Amino acid sequence: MVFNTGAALLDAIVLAVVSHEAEGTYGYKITQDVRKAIDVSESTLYPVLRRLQKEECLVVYDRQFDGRNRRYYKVTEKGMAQLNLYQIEWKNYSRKIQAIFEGGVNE
Amino acid sequence: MSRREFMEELKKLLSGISDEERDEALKYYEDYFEEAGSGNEEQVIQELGSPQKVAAMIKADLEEGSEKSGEFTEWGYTDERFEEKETPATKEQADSETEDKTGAREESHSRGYSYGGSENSRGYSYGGNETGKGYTHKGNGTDVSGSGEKAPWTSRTLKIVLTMLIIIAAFPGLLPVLISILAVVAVLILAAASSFAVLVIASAALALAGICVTVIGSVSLIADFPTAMMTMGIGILLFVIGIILTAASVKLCLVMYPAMYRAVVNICRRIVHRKKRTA
Repeated sequence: MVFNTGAALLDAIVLAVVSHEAEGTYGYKITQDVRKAIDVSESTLYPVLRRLQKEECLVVYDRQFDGRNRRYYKVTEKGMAQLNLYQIEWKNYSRKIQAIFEGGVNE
Repeated sequence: MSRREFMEELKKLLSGISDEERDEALKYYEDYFEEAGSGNEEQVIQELGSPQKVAAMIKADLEEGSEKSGEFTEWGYTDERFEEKETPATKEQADSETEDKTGAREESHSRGYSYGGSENSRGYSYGGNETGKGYTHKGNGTDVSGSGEKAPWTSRTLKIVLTMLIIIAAFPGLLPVLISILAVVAVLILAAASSFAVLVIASAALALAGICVTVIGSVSLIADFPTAMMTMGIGILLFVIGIILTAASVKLCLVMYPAMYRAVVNICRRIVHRKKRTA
């Protein structure tokens, strides 16, 4: 991809990825899922997750897995609201871009 | 580098942040290695990049809060904070791009450009600041495919020297002024330094003079006893005063020289640090 992913878009993608799992999901899987869509370095995800957690868009909890505690991330109510907002914005944005690409600038 | 070494290094590098933040981050990366499986350690380390980079990103996010984060391009994460310098090509590109945009984003340009979401409130303005930067490839060390390579080495000192040379070349009249200022400063430092040494020498000389006078007095002891006694007395007195003064001034030097040295070093450090911050 030649287009950049800004901080907001990355937040949106991470929130979307996490929200797909009702039970929550864990850091490694989030990274792998996000990297299916955009090519980010693996070390960029932790600060994003941590920040979303502090903004109360995500919560973490530990669950036993394979004899150790695995840290799960889950989207909160606030996170869902934020994700909705992102999705609406994205729809508007992508529709406009699409319109321009296809030749019709006037809406 | 093994997983253990990586984590050890990361732990060390994160010693500056709060315990809670450090534990969180370490837990995350321990988990990460665990999930990736023990067979993939090397690959994970390669994709994570150096511990320095991982630590820098964690710290940067903590320090700056949510604003001012970088961009995620297809070449990986692009963040000016982790770049040593811009390549000339990028700068040119930035210039032409800004012109194309008829100066619409002069602000972001003047800030050295390419802080993707830095000007907006990290919210929803997709169109706002991120346009016009699609092709800004910078050779930063965050290439995903890369094997932890670093940005090209640059030297801040070299930059400062070059800048000074440019300034001197641009204003030839400045050079003599600069030299004289430097000379005055050097003289002042030397004068301050030598004044204490002079005290020591003078006191020692006094003691020496005392010895001489005593000797002279003792020579004339037989010829003129009262005068000789007085001369010797004065000599001994001078000697004692000289010794005391020598001891005192040596002590003074021991106190003053390290203090002066520290002061000079401090001043220099402050100047350099300020440059670092503004650079």
